[in-house]
Amino acid sequence: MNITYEDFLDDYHEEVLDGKVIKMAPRPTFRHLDTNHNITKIFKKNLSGCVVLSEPDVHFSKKDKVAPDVAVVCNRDILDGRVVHGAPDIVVEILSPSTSKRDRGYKKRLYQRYGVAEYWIVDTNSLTVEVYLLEDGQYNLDNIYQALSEAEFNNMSEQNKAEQAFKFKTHLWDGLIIDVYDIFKDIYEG
Amino acid sequence: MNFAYENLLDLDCDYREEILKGKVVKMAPRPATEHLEAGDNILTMLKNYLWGKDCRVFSEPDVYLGDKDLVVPDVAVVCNHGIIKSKGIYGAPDLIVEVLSRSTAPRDRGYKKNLYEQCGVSEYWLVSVAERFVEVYLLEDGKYVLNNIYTHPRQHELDDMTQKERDRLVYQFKTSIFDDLVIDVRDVFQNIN
Repeated sequence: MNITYEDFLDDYHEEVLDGKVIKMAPRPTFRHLDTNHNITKIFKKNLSGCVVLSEPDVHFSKKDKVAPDVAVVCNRDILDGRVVHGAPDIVVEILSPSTSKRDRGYKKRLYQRYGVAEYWIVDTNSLTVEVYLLEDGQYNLDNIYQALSEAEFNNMSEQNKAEQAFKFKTHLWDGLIIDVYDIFKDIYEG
Repeated sequence: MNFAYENLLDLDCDYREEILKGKVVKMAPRPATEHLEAGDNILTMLKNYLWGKDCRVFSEPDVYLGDKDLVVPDVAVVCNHGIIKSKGIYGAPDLIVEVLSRSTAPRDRGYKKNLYEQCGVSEYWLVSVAERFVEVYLLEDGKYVLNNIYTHPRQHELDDMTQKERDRLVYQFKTSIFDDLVIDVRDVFQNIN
């Protein structure tokens, strides 16, 4: 059998969702990788004993094994050096066309069910970060932070301008203020 | 503070305002042309399909939900004629479509999604013109469950995909409210770049 380059790209990484093996997307785009690096770097500024992991294997059960883009884990007892066994404190998924349905659907419900306290959905096209916080076992949209261009901001009504927030905190650390523009800083364009 | 419908109407709100949780919310300045076109394309498809049938479709109708919320979705389908009044729709439409924009996305994904879920809007579409997708939520046991996200990538995005990724794209889908209406996501973004 001949293995094509596309097969190779396609077989890069796997997840198991509800007992089904899911091939992950081909290699992420440079934009995707750059954004992942930025977020990891920002979290690393203020870990206070927690661990930040890029594309870790996270096992919730035999039937659900995922590899989110970024995860923050504060309970080191669930780490074994290769796998996170249980719910991270923060999970970040960076959308790509082939994964957005799962990121917004099955995986969001999975993270909710296993008690991931904070879930970010990051979109490198619209430059947005959607933050969901777990409240009474349900994800509520906390806010959507958008790295607006100057023109986009100027076009907004006064009320909309007033509603925009560009800096925010995670539920974990009071001392870390995250700027949405830093998340998308210098990411690959093209 | 309690808002009766009559009070809502007395607020002298100009057309592009909504009232959420009793608070007047100014809508975005006039939406971008692409935003309007996507709404019109969806309206046209639904209107053609519903011509001579029972349900009705509205563009930017005033929709009164509970006693504290007046929303103006981009498109709404209503099958219960009893809630259609000349001043607006008084109750939950069967399908609501919101076309996302920078300034409305947090509400469309947050407050309004929860509101539509609570009020029993059985199908909710979020449409992104920038990213050319239609995200479909269906009400199941009182909760919205993501049904699918249908994307119509631009040519350069298609060029960047592998053949397998292209093969996986699904362009056509049905709504939950009509058995024989097939929506093609390429039609939603017809002529929009």
